[in-house]
Amino acid sequence: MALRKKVLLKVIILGDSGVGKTSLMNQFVNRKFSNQYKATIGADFLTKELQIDDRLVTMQIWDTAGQERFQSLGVAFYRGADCCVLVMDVTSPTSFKSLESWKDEFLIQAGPRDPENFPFVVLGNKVDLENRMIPTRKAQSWCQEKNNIPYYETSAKEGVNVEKAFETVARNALAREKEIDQQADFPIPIRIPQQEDPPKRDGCSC
Amino acid sequence: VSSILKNKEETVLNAWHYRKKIIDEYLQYISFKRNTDKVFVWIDEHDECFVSKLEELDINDEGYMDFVRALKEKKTMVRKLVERADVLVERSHSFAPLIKDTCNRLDSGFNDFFQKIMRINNKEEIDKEAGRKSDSSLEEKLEQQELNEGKRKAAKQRELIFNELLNTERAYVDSLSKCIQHYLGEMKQYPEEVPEFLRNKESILFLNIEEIHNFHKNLFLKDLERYEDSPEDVGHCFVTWAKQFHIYYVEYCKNNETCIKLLTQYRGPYFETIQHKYQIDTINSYLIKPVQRITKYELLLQRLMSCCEESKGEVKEGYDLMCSVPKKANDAMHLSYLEELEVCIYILPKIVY
Repeated sequence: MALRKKVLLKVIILGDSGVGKTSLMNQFVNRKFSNQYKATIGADFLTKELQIDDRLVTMQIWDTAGQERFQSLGVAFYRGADCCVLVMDVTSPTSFKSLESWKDEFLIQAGPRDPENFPFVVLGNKVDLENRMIPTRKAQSWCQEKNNIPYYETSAKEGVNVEKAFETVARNALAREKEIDQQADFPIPIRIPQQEDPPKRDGCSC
Repeated sequence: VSSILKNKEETVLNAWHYRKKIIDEYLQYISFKRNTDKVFVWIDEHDECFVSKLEELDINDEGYMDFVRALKEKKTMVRKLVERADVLVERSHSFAPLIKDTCNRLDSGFNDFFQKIMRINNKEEIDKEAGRKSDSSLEEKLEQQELNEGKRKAAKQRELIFNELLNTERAYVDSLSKCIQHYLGEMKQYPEEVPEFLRNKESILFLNIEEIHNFHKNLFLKDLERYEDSPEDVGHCFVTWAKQFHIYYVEYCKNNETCIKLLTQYRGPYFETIQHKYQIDTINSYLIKPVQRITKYELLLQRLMSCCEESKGEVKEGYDLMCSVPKKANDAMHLSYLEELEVCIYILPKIVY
């Protein structure tokens, strides 16, 4: 670890459709909220640079729309995630109930080491709406049960708490990154037996 | 040879598309004409003699109520036909003048008739329960306005969804271009700079991404652009290219695992250097694009389906196809995991002993 590499954090954002995943990403990265046409799929991922203490990190936030139902495709997609953001809509009890299965699904498919301590962050979005159905306490206690997952109440529409929530996402992902660095648990590169005289092929370019 | 074949294929497809468009539009015109004729027949049946009879009828009479109901129905029908005609004409339909003409005839013919009825109706209204009648006609108007608005909204929505499909498709093609041009291009152009570990592994890393890129850029995207004026028919585009989707994506997804494994094992700075040189994204995020993209069409088509009339166009067919492709790709990937497992089990005893 002589040379500190620039840190790239891969963040996966999950939750029922319509909870505001794309809007949250957009609010965080572009500081924009659109009440008009809601894109179905949005960008594959958005990136944002962030200063966390003395380190400059690049967050790569992945929108998952469409991938969830295919387990094998999901594996490819979740691989290498550093943090997972679970989003629910505080006006929709169903989306709250789904958090559990999103979390399980992620752990199964991503298969991180030490799943017990994998960093999650839960967001209760749409707090600007009046017909709220999930009280803060209920969401908080669920998060506490799950090994103290940080919980934030956000409004992508009004930009409430979005910045703060994603900063926590970055911090927790970074903390994990450091641990892993110390454990040095990447697979050891396989040494390919070197041939004495590598056959030189001159460009047949077909 | 393959490029000649591809060109020929494209020419044939173009011609075929054109013919199909004309025939489809002719059919649209015929069905439009038929519906208009129905309205005229009905007007003829109820004109003159019936109108004179109407004046004598009591508004509570059953015959009168039936007539009002039928009139309402016909009015909605005419409105729908006029709307449909507007849409068709706007789209620079091949039979636009004919449609316009028919439409105008229908509109004025029906309006005359309607006015006539209304005059009689109004007389009665004054005679009898004035308030109630006018209320109901007001209600009718409101109802119609709502219906109109609903239609317009659905059309607008279709347009927006189609635009998303088109824009994301362009972005996808662009990403694939960047990946091929920069990462693969660099490896091909300066083979001496490729680290030993990655040397001659282009086909493992990039698989058939060039084929996928060609297909999207030269065939699919171009075809997609043709539906800009009729988003409700875009399903057809997916039906046309179903085979290509199946072959290319199953192939890609099946082997993507090996590619990612290779990338994880290689921990040198080679790709990062290229990334910074061209200011592009990581190689991993490009190589996963096809896997991601193939799952998105389904979502877009599903949404499009929700604002298209059923039994029209081929959105449903396109949707079904775009459900089946990622499913197949997923199964192929799953299978490749299993196959890998078998190999491991097979090797295991040798290692143990």
